[in-house]
Amino acid sequence: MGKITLTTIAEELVARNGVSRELADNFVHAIVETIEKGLREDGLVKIKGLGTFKLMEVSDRGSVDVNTGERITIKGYRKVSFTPDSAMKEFVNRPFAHFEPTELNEGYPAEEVRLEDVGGEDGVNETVDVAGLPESPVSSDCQSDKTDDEELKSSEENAATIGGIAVSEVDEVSEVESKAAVITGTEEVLVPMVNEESVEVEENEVPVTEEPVVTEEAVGIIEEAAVTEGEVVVAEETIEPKVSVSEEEKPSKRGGCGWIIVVLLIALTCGVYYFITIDQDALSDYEAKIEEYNDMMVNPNLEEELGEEWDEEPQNAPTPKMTPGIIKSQKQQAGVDSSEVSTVQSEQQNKVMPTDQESGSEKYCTVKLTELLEAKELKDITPADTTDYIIDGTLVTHELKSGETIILLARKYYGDKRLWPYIVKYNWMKDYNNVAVGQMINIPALKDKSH
Amino acid sequence: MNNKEFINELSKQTNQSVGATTKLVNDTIRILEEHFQQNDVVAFSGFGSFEVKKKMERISVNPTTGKRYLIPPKLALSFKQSNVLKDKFNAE
Repeated sequence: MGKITLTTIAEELVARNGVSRELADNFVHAIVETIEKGLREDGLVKIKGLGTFKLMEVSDRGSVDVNTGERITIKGYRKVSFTPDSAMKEFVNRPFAHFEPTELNEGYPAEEVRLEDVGGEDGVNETVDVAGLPESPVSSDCQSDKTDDEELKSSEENAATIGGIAVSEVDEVSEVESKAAVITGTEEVLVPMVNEESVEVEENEVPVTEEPVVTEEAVGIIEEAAVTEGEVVVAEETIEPKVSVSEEEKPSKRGGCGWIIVVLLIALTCGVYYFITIDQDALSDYEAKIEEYNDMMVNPNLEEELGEEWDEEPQNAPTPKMTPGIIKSQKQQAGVDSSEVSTVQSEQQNKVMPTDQESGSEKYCTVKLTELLEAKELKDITPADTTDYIIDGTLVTHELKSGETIILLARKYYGDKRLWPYIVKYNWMKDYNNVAVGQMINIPALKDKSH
Repeated sequence: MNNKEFINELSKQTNQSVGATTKLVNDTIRILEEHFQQNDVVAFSGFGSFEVKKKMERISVNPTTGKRYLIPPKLALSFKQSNVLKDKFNAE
């Protein structure tokens, strides 16, 4: 971090090249003089491996005197500019070379994107991933981890004494425990159990294990790989404390907005847990149940039941309805560990209660989040089954302006944002999150089915 | 003045062969690179100073497609001319 002068450079040149001190001193000064001379002659000096010096004209510009407030003109001058050449640029930027520009999700106004970044970063995205594709990249990561473990195992001598498979299982279990340690941030209990190679593993694991959901995927793989019953029990035991950890930790971090995410996360961890413990055959059954719950969610009867709540707080209503839905479907399907489910359910009800009592600003926050959640959750549902209307011609053609979304259009033209799927359906949109400013959107006229 | 002219001029001033000058210039650039790597400020007195600066990440919009991109942070080499040099070129 020091300041380096020409003298230092000359000294290092002596050490590196073996030239005399006098020559090195002359040389570095000659470099500066030559650059100046070249600039005076051509206004441009190119040095390979370093960059280009160029003489630029800076034109006059107006400004205001800070003290007197008068308008003054700053006279133009000539300035030596320097552009590093590509080799030098890359060399200097080498520590950051692994970064690449990423495209940002479009379709939300800046405010909503920011909310999504803050609140939904690990909650919402993971939710969608696990629910939609259980065999996501996460699980492939875990598989590669497993191969790492096996390599470690083969390199270890004492593995032979205990017996091949058992050792790998133990390794993996301790790996899971080390993951749990990363999540809780309290390692003191687990340190004695973790031997040298699993410490290495933990270091490798740290970037992967940011989420309880991720670790549960890993547990799932372990369980599938496990042959004997006892090992399954061990793995199951590791799940339970983790779930409780995630319940205890998250609310304190996020505050009001976090409640909904926490509730969804619990529902999901339950879902993943049952998906693992129950046979693979049950998967299709489970999907059917999910669709059932989706239907339930948009069932008009339920809306009537909660009609008053809709009027008061239309934003909070969907979430409480959704989570019991999940639990109910799982309860029917599982039928075994119903006591556990009921405890979780009661916990969820406890957690939903405070949401209703929150202040106005927090409510606003929840609206945004629920909207985002809805948009993601509803992705797999065919549009336009929200309520019972039929499309009856075009009402008006709307040119999309900056900051408008399909949901906002539904609110504008129908007074109800939940009717946005009709607009999506009527316009044959493939991706309703990706709409452009200036796009012409036909707003369908809606007729009530019952009339 | 391109690289070749620069080397020729330099060799004339220091009474060295073109080959020796080229080697010296390359060594000087290597030395500079080492200092840039250590985040040093390299100041040529009477000329200007080189400094590696960190540019923060930013969001940019492609004007034709309207797509938004997150440009990652980067390290960039910057040069600031000294007042002596400025006066030299603005004397007349």
